[in-house]
Amino acid sequence: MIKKIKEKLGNSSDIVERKINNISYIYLESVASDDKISDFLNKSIINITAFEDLLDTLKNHIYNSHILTIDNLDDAYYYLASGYVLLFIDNSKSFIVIEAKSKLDRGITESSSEPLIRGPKDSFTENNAVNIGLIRKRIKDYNLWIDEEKIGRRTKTKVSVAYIRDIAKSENVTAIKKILKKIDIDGILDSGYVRDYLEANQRSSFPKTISTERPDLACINLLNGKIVLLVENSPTVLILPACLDDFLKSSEDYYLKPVNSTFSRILRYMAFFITILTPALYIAFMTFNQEMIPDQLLISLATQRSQVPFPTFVEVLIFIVIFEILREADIRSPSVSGASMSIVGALVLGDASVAAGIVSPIVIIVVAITSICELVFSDMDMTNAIRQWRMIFIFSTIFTGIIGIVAAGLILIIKLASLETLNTPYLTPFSPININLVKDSLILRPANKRKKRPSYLTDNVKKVGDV
Amino acid sequence: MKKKLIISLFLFFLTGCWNYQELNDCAIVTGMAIDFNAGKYEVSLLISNGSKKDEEGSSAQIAVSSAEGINVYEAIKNISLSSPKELYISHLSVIVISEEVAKEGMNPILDFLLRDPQSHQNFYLVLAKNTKAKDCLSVLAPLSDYPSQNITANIKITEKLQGRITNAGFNNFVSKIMQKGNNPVANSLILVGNAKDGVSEEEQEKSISSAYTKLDTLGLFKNDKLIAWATIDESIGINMLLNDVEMLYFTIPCENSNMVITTNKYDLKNKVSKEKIDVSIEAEGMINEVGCTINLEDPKTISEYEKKAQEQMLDYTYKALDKAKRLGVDVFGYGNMIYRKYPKYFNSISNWNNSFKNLEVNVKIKFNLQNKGALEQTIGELMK
Repeated sequence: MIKKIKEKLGNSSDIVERKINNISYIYLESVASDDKISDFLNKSIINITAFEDLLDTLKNHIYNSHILTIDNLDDAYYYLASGYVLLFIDNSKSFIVIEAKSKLDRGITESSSEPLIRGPKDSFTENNAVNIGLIRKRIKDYNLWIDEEKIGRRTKTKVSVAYIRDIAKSENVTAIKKILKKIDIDGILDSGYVRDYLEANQRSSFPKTISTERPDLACINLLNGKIVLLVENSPTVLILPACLDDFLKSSEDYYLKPVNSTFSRILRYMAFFITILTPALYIAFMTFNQEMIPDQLLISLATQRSQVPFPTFVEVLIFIVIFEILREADIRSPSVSGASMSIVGALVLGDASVAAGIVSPIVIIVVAITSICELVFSDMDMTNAIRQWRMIFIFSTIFTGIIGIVAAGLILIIKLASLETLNTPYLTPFSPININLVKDSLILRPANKRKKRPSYLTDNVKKVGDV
Repeated sequence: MKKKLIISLFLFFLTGCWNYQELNDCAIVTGMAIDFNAGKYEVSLLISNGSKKDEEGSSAQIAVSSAEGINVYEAIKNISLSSPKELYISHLSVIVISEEVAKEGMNPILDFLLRDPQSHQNFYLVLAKNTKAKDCLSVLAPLSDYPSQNITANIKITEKLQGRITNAGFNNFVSKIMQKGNNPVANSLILVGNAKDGVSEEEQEKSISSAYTKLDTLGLFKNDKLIAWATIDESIGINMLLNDVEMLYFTIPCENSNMVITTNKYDLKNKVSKEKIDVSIEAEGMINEVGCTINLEDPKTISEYEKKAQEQMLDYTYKALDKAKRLGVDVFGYGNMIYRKYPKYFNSISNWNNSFKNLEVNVKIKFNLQNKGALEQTIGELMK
């Protein structure tokens, strides 16, 4: 049997096998822990003296809680790759698998992409069990159910669906599981793969699932009736259904005073519109609707512009593209080269380009405002969507001015309003308007006033009182 | 679907950058002056974005270009013959019209300004009194970047602080011309000093300007033609009756000297009937300066000077009414008030300006001295 397995694995170099009496075992040293195996497997096997009914004896004598008896050889490979030890007894068809995983993850660290000032600092890791643990630790309700699916023909990645049974809508859970079951793919390396399948029915640049590294944000959403998808080897969990409003929230909002959080949420909404509209408005004002600028500003702009040989929109496009490249380079580059990047960005692009007469100072201000407002959003998919729509706005403005902005704005609203995830409109709670939900969107009411769960996520709306 | 998308994308290109205009290609016109020169219109435009280089990059420099034409449009087109940029008049903030042009009639100019799609009709209209309009526009002002800004700011601020400047908006002027039984008035500018001294750059660096513009009295129009200038007293009276007064100051005699009173609250009500207009004015004011020795703590003194102030204000209004009746121009819009109340009666009158001469206007003024300023008593009284 061992020979068969070794052959199937191509005699890979990390296979370790050993035979003690008539018991033999095999494991992969790359994923299993040698220490664990020597500690509890070898010791217990050596102590065994009764050889009748060996399988049961073994099961009863090995100091390990993860013991399974299987007789399907196909399953064996999965367990082997997951860090289990396969235990064979001569002349027996079935065999035992025993967990002996070695720790192959980096442990719980602070979130780097979604930092908070106030609030728990831990973040999800690549280890599925740890991730589930981080949620369980926070929600100790027996109604927190976690279903698991192995996806990927070759990677056999665990995808866990976590939800609170009596809050989350069961049809949403079944819908998600149905989609997961249908996934037929070679491998899943990150939750991004799964998200593509979940959003497949409606293409849009706007993300329809929240991606987060923060267990507290996942738990806030679980308690509201959303469903959390944890993908093995991915520190980013997916939360759905998501609407636009969710991307303008931060879990920190709930930890700070509600009045202040309301203020920052309003700022975020403003930033959303500013970052999409500013370059387009600038182009419209400079090339079509000059009458909308006050006299003195117009004259000052005109003198600034008079040194620049390019049309306004070329100037704006040049600078936006340069900024995007700078940002992309900043994300990809190792942190050691960050300093030189910022010197190039600030001095060369900002100062020298004006002195050289390539762009006017006001364009730098416009692009700076745009990009600062863009940085408000931590979700990469969201910023990419904003980037895309900003370009659509700019191009429609180049041809028709303010009318172009209005037209593109209409298209944006129509597009957003027609999106939905799991029967939830993307613009909830603004369209359709739901006054009760607005209390936790643009305006945040104090925790003692938020007595109801969002009705679009759950039928079990009451938070307090009868359960 | 994809084909449709691509086709609709190309629709954008079909617009061919409709209405596209780079700011670089615009000559931003902030002021316009219209003169008569040998039977032709001479139009001067103040262009505010001529750029020059200095150590700190670039700053705006103004340029006045003028040309002649048999009408305003032709004159402007003649200017553009010498301009490297397209003339852009949406940001026009002031238009200066010379006396001769205003006497000839404003209609051609008004028509151009109302008809031009670029013009936004939100600018000031002033008359140039005893001087060329072009000179008023080209004199550099020490306190502002360019002359048009100087004139508009001057009007905007002074209108609030002094009774003799009227609300000089172009829209206001035009609507008065078009109304039945109404005639407009307009502010005027005079030039102090020699215009040639005021146009050089060095002039701005001097602390005492040798040439500058100054707001003067009102011009009275009959329909679209300027027919007379008001005196200072008449200008104040006209503004009082037009309810266009925020702060009004006047001097009244007291014993052997005089005192200055400013109104800080002014309320006017017209009671209109077919034969007469009853004007009742309620005003409150304060004392600004007292040159004589009187006891200000005595209520009798106060009421005595309140009465004197009332007489002074009454005098202004009657001077204004006299002038208007003598000329037969209803600049107060009383005809319009009657027209609104009794349209049939008004239409039966063939020439309103003639019957305005016989219109009875009664003015009643109630003046209250509310405030004596920071000093409660006169200095002479305190020294006793």
